[in-house]
Amino acid sequence: MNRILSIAAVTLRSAIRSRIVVFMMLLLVFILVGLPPAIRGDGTLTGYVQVLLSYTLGFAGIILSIVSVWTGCTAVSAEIKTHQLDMVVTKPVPAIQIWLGKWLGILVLSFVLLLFTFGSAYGGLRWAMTRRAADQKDLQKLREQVLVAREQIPPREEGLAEQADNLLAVRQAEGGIPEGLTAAAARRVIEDNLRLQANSVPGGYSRQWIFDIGVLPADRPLFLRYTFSAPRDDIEGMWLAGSRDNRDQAVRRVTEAPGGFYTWRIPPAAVNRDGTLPVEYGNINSEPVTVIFPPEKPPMLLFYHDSFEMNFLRVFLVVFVRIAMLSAIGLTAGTLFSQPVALFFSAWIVLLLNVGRYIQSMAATQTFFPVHDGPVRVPGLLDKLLHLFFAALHRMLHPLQSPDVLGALAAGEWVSWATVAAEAAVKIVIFSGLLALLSAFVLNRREVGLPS
Amino acid sequence: MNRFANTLLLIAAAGLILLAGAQHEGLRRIKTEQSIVPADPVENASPLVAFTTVALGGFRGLVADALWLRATRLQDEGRYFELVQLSNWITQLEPGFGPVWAFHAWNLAYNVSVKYSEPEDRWRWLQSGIQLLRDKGLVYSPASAEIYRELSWLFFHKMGGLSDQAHWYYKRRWADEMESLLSGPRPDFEALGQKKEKLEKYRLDAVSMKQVDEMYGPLDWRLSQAHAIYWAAKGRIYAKGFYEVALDRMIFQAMAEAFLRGRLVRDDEKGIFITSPNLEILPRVLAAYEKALTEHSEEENIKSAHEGFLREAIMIVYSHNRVDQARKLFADLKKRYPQHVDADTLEEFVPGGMSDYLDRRAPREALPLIEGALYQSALWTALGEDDLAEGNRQIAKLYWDHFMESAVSEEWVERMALPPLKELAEKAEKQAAEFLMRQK
Repeated sequence: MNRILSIAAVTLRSAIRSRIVVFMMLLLVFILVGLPPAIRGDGTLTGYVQVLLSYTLGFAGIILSIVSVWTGCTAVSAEIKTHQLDMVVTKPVPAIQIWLGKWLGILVLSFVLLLFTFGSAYGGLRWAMTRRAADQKDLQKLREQVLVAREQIPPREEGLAEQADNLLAVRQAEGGIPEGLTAAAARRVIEDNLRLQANSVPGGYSRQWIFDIGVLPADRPLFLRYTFSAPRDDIEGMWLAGSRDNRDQAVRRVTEAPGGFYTWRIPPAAVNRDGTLPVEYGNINSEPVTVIFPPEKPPMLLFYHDSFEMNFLRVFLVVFVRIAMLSAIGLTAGTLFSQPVALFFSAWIVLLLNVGRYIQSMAATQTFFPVHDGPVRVPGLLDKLLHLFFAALHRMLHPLQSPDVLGALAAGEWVSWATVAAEAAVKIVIFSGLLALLSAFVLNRREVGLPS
Repeated sequence: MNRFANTLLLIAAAGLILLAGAQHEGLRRIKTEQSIVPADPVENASPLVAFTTVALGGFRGLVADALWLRATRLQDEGRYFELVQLSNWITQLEPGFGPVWAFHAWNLAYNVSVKYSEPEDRWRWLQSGIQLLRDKGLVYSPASAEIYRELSWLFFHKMGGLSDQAHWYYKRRWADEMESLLSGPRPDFEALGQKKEKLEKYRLDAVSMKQVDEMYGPLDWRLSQAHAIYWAAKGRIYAKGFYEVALDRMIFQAMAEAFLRGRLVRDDEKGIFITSPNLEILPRVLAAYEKALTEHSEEENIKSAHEGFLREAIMIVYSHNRVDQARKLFADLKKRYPQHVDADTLEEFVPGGMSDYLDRRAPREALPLIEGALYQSALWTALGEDDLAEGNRQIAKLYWDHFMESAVSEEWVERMALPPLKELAEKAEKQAAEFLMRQK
């Protein structure tokens, strides 16, 4: 252990001496100090705080990622080039310990910088709250919807799977499944249709959802967040939350445009004693139009889970885990390649990790070269190869992509300990562990001390 | 030797820098001629914007694209809080490109605002759109007719129109702000010049306001139409080609709107906030149409807008008991667009204008129209607007006569006839009195 700590101390010292790292640290300070006054929210304190959290932590995260990757790349490759590593490998120190020591040194640096970043952002947030003018409504919104960790749950799906099974059996008995369509695919189509029907509310009708909340603190409000589509502007609707026999049933009449995301504050008294909350939407539009709540974005219920500070801590840990993984990538690249190649390779990996959405959409694409203004083209060999490539890339990268924890923090959404644990398990224990083994293997085999 | 080589290299570097510098003018000229990118640095830009636009060069388009993609994604996800910030950055990366400003201001004021159900939220987003154009766009692109037109449109249509659910809220909020700035509907323009700092918040200029008011007024500056005219008139100086027509159209449309709804009747104690016609500006509106017709004689839609305006103006003027003025307007309409006017006299035109509409109504639908006109008449009487009250009473009588003329038999009268006009007028007076009591 002492050997690992000694190597960590040396790595930390040389990282601090690096001009690039010092420059990035100065840039970090510049961002933390200079960004908040330049931020324009949406004109409310709530909006300002949301942008402040997203931007300061987001930009600082980018800089810390660069610092980690850079330090990781140079920690081994530069030492091989300058023959500093020769002194270490000639001593009875296993390669894995060298790698771990270097990684630990980078992690300590990253941890301290991240702690400074999050601490400054939190201080800036508290400072903004005391300095910036806001009315009571705005302050209430900030406290209830941003400075909090809210759990988000979808409505209960009642018997949809069973209905789909029954309907599939009926269709199969009738011989109504088209040839070439497998039973699993037909069932999926049936279930999607049932879900769409269940989320459609024709004019003059209503639709109820049940949310299973469980125990809720008595003084904490709930928030229903929903969106819908409809073929007209400004749809009149009526929301009811709570059972009809509950005298605290909440009622709200709304006129809203389709496509927006709306939030309705529901008092906690509307929740039933058994911890369920029925929510009903009545389509009372004067013109008979069908309102559709997209099945992929059903109404969601948000309610208090724990404090903002605890969420802040969990987000800190998730970001740290990500930075730790990046430094492991940099360190491994530095072990495998010379410094410039390692930097390019790491930058390429980081880029791939950041374009996850694009890769996901490409993986779902079947025809890469569609013919516009013509008949639909059957995917050719090149399309299939590209599809396979992107599908494989997506599969490989998906576990390494991070959830948008900063977005969740700014939206007051709960980031669970399970998320932190899963991130740590995948990115530190498994992925970084594999990289450590690979690096150790390469270090053992690589000839250092060659004339450069 | 090394020193000699270094000196040589330094001299070569300096020579190359000078050579590159000498190419600059030529390249700048080509960029301007080919309209590749704005060749000149943006005037009035803050140091940060100037630095970013110069330092990023052509790459700033890529940064703007990336930010634009983010803005689109966030908007799709309903996360609107970043949009003002992103719109600011995107527009400032392309400060000389009018359509970018127009798009983002429109997006904030129209697309995002309607995603909120509370009027104060919608107002905030409308303000963000206006501020983006007025406080940023016009600073970086002070000669962009497109930005002036978009700004004018936001005042004319979004704030002044009726299409938004929250339009009355917008009008009240704007009137509140303008009233505290201008101390009334018609400012003392000389004294207003002393309030430069306060005017600067809205980027208004007392001299230009006075000129606009003299040319197109008298305007009620608490209402949005005055500001629509103001910004369109300011932009007209820079307009070329399409924007000449667009801004002229903006001016006469906003003036027509100011004629129809450009007088604010406001009594906060009674809770009254009503816009009514501003008859004083009728000659100016007609002159604005005349000018547009002369300057853009090939534009058919200006002619049809003019005809539509004359028709509406006749009815409005008539409802204000200004029969002679209505007669002159009718004569003008008949002379210019004879093929579209069947009536020979004003007396035929006024009920005729509504006859098609009324003919299609059943008695149960005609009655509310008459009651509505009588209610308006009673309300305007209570507010001391005698001409308007009398005009509405006459319209109610015209409706009533028109409908009762179609009586074909005693049986018809017994079954379909309307109650006597006097009886309806008494009922309307009572309703108006109750309304005013409720406002207290």
